[in-house]
Amino acid sequence: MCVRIDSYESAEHQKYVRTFLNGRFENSAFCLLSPDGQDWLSRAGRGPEHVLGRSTAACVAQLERVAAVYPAKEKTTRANVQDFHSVRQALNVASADQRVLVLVHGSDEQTQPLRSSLKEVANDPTIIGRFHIDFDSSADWKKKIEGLKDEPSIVLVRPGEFGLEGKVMAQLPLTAENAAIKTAMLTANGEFAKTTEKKVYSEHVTKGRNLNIYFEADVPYGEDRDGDGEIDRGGPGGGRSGRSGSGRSREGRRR
Amino acid sequence: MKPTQWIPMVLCTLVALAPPLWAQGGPRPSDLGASELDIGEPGIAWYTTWETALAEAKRSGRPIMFVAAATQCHGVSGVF
Repeated sequence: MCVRIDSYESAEHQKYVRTFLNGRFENSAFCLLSPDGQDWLSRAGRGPEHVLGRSTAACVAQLERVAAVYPAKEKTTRANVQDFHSVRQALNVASADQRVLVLVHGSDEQTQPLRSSLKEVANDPTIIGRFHIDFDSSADWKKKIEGLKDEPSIVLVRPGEFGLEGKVMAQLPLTAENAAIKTAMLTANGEFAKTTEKKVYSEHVTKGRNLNIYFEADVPYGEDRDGDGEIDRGGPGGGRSGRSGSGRSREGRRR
Repeated sequence: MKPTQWIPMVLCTLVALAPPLWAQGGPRPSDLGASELDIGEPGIAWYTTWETALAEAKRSGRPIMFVAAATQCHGVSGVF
């Protein structure tokens, strides 16, 4: 199974990335791990190409070798449903991957049963890999979602171009049947696909810079390539601050 | 999903998407074009927190493909 975390989401993530890069911190890291997360099943590096080989065939062979040693011992159709640490991050990632965000909103007590009941939906062959799903009980993101009815619900959200806001595509009660949830998700996915232009990432970044879009992180941007524990000045990102002194607001616009 | 199903999907996304960029020490969205995957089509079923990923790996006994990357480029969000 695959996990992708944001290197800059937290100091904890940054520390975790360092464990794969001999104490250095760089934008990306890659490694194959045992199911308990304790043992490395490959070398670690900045990406699969560094670790598994430059050709797709070589990568496939390595992954198949590892997968054969660890066959699934439980049904993958009952796999746990993904989650994010925040709606802010969920919107950003859904925007990046150009997927509809499924936001399960309510108190922890209200949403907990859906972590189990939604497994059937999330692992359905017509659903898996097409959406991002987030469970959230906080309230600070609500003003970012246009058309939201403020009530515990399952909200299908069209992420904004830069993932700083979103629009409601459909909203269902937490008590909705799985069949209804699945139908709504497939409808939203079809509509999203028809009405969304595929991003060209280089153009996206250029446009964002021109618009002064800025996504503030909890740790400074940049890399620590000498591994001294500090973000290098003058390197990629240049030690440019994520949280402080950027001159831009958390909402993504220059003050 | 069987390994034979998810492995090619993973690689199509991670490797074929930007082969020259991984070779340069990491992909940078400012150098990337569009994804080869059409919008609405299935991609990788990512776990997006370490906690949920580890729980699922322990439950299923499947190995973990760990990726860390930035969700912004030059501070511009909407990339991963």
